[in-house]
Amino acid sequence: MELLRVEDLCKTYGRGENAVKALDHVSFTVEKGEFLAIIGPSGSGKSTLLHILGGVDRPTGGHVYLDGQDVYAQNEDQLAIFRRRQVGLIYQFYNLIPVLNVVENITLPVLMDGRTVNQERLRELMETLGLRGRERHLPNQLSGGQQQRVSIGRALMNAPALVLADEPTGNLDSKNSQEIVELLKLSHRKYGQTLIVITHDESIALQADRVLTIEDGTITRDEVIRR
Amino acid sequence: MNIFQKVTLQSLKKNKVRTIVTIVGVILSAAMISAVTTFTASMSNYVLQAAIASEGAWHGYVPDADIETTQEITGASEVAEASAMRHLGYALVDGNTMQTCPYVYVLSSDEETTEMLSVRLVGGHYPTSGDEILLPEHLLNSNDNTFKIGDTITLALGQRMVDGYYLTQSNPYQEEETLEVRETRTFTVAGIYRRLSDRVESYEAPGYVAITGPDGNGDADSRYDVFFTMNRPGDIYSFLEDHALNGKTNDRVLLYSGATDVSGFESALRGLSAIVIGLIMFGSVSLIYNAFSISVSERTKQFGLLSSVGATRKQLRGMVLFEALVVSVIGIPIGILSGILGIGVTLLFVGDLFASLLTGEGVPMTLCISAPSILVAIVVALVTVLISAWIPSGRATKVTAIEAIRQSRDIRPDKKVRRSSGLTYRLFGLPGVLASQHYRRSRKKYRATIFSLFMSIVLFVSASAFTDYMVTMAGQGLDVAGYDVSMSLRQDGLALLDDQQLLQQIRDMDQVEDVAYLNERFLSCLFDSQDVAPQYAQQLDQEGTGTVKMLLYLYFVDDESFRELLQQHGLSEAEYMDPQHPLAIGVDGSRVYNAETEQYQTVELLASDQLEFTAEAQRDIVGYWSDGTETNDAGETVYMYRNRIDSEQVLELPEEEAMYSSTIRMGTRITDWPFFLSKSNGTTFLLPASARDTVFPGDGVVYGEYLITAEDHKAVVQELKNMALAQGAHVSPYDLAASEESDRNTITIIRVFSYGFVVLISLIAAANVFNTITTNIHLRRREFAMLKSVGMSRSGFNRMMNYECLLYGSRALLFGLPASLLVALLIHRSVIYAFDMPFRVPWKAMGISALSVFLVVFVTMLYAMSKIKKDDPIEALKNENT
Ligand SMILES: Nc1ncnc2c1ncn2[C@@H]1O[C@H](COP(=O)(O)OP(=O)(O)O)[C@@H](O)[C@H]1O
Ligand SMILES: [Mg+2]
Repeated sequence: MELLRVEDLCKTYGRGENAVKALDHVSFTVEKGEFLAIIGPSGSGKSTLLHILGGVDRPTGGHVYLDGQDVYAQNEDQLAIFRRRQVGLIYQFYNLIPVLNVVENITLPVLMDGRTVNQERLRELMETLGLRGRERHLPNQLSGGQQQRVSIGRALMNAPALVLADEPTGNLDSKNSQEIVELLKLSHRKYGQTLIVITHDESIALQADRVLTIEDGTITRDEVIRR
Repeated sequence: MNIFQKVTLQSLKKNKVRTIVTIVGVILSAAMISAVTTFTASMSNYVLQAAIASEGAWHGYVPDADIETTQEITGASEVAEASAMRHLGYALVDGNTMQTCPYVYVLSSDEETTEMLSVRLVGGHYPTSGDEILLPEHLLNSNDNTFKIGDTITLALGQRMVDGYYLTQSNPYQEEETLEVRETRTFTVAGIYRRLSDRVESYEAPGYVAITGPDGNGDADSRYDVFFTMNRPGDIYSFLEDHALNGKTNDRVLLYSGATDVSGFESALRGLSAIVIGLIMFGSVSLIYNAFSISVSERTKQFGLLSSVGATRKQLRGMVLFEALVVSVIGIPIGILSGILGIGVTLLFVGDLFASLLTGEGVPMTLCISAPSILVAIVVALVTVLISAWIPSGRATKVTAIEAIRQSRDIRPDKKVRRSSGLTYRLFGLPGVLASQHYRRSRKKYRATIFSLFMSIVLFVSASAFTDYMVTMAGQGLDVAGYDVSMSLRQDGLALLDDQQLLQQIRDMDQVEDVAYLNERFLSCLFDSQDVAPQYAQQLDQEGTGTVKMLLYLYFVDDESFRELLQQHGLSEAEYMDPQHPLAIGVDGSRVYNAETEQYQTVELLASDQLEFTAEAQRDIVGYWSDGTETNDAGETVYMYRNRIDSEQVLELPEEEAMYSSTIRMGTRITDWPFFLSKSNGTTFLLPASARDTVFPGDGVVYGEYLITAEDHKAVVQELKNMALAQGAHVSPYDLAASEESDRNTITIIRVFSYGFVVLISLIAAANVFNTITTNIHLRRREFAMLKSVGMSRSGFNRMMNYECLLYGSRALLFGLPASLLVALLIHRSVIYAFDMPFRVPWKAMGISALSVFLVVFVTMLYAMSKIKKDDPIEALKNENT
């Protein structure tokens, strides 16, 4: 079953002489529960694509459908709620709120919704992420790997259908990297989530079901590794 | 508390310095606002208190009420307090010379009444029983009998009757009325009190109101004067109407109680405070806005992150407003309290000055804290903070998630280091160029800094200019004369009073230290040019005639004062007061305001110590006033004199008869002015009164002036009035000492308030500048770290920062100084209507503000940089999550 459909996606930065075509008529679909890796040289437009999929940036052309819904037909507030409930974003630079502790950072999307936190799920997540005992720590009291685990926790807290990760291991050593990838795969399997990961790391890409290669804003290769 | 509020609180805590500066800004502005509202409230309360002091606190007054009416009023639910004065009746007093007011009118009172009527003692104590009595001051003044405190007075009390009807205080004295005596009582004079307001005792009233203490209960026939206050002052009118009462209302008190419309005074006061509050709001919005704006841009990343995790715009805006609320909850109460405290302390010191300035009631202005004034202050302060937060909060919502995420990426030094600004490069090197580029790039961020500097320059300079003008205006005519009280007698006064006898009486008065009696003559004087100081001689004798003509004053001084003056200067009485050949004393060195130099100058007009001049004066004729000249049928100039009483009766005198010409010899020139002269009158000649007939034989005295020095000038003024009144004349002595005192008070008050205002505005501006600069430097940590890491030295760093300081300071001054000059000009424009004085460039204020601007900027920079210097470049570069 198809979860994500990307049609003729274009993104141009700047105007006139300085215009940079970051995405140039990109189209693809992603099945529900698929683990997709995106690779490509630096500056090829991977992050741009991911941000557009996550609803944080607006395309200059084309459409993104999630579960058949046109993401960018929504207004700003609807889009904010979309980000809060439907997707989980993980960045290379964790992007945690420095003044909030671990638990607060993780539960942020739920708290924003004004809902009460499912303590069961929180405990389970903390356990899985290996963050037990660090509940009250602030981000700057954690190592890079731990911070990244917090940001994964935040992305997973709302059990979103789609999890997007932009070079989640780019800042980590290989041991931490593998742990993070294992975590992502675990939740992917456990909750049947669709996972899209941007990576430079060949070995991570090879663990995916499918690998997209982007060069100069266009998809140059689309290989299915596993089915 | 939701998560957004939590994030906000934590961020506030984390940026302690900035939060504190923001709160200080809120405190300052709330303090200023509440100071204004509290002052306004105190002022309104003061005028009310002053009105009460002179009129009494009552709202309604029903005279001549029977017992039922009295009880009806006393018992009414709308009435707050009531007190009834029982009529004991009228009595004739011995020695009363006032035809229309032959009686005393005795009322019994209690403590409440004396308070409600603001009965003020001149001496003695309040009567404690029906056997003690208070007599009004004006009874003593118009009575041959001098009652003293402690005397006993026996009164045959009764009712005034005409045609079988009794008369009250509202029926003026009638020839045909009779007094039906009911009882004769003896009272002890407990005290003398100041005349009640004319609302209670009108000028037509036939009896002086005398007040006894509580005097038991009356009987069924007793009649009362009922004074009462209402729970709601405004109800008085309908109350009198509804109960069909024939009463009076205390309109002045009611007006200031806000019973009717807003009084003119009140609305002027409110208008003025609205303007001041507006200015303060403007100033504080610029500060507090700046604080929030910084907070928002510093938290751009935070907003972006929250947005990327799904925060809506409304939620983000809510965060900023929540921040505003937090800051308000802490800042506004403290601010309001300090504002009240500030005004309280100020009034403690200048409250009495105000009192003497506004009214002569002797009521000091005290702090009045009213609920509406606090409420207004809270609302205005809150609105100020919310406006300040609302504007930048819009920006918070515009931060897109993607910007926030990307923000943590590249930090590259600006690739294109433009070398175009050659001078900057030469003076400050690369650091200078970097600084000016930074300035160019973040002009917007620094606009607020420059704006607040600009605002404070303008406010500071214009407030100083304003103060300066006001002080000059109020200081006009201070210290020009040595006397405290002057009293002049014109023809009608002179007709009624014996001026020499009056002089003696004044001299005998206890409080009077010194007195002189002057008769003035305005002379046209012809001097030998050599006797006049060269610069004036040249000016006045341009044709080189060898003579100079000037209009100067000559005073005939009473002999005793003249003698004293001679003694003071070691001059011979025989020489100067020789009736046949008197010598004049020339008083030189007058004080003249020079409009060009803007200063008072001492002008010494005469060059010789001894001289002779010809003086011409027009004859004064008693009973007539001079009405200029006319040309008669024969073509001759005649001098017209009109009869004072019948102006149709005219004397026409030919020039020879109307004009005197006399040679006056001046025996000495002195430059220290006797107390009885005013230095602003110009060079003056003095002769003894006894020489008058020799100098101007047969001249009539139509104007005389008494100049008096006395510590207790107020008492002297009162005494003079009484004295004249006793002789059937009305005089209006001028209390120069009092007016100088109030001028000095005005100056003090203007200074206190305008400097207070300036200081607060400057504090706001300083806080503002501090806030922007520290935060901006903090935001540039990474840039600095990067510059350090590529090898910029510490001194290079300092140079860069110094250059930035120069940029802000000079830019603020560039706009601020001309603008403030303009405002100063406008202020000058508006004051010259009241008082002509030349425009002065407020150099001092401009200099001070220029210095302070640089001082504040540099000190802040130093502070901010000292915080940053500790930074390890690698840490700062690495640290993404701060
Ligand atoms: N905010 C931006 N403004 C201008 N150009 C941008 C911006 N963001 C990305 N780009 C440009 O778009 C292209 C794609 O960038 P990005 O999506 O970050 O690539 P990748 O993640 O594959 O390294 C690059 O050429 C980059 O310089
Ligand atoms: Mg990228």
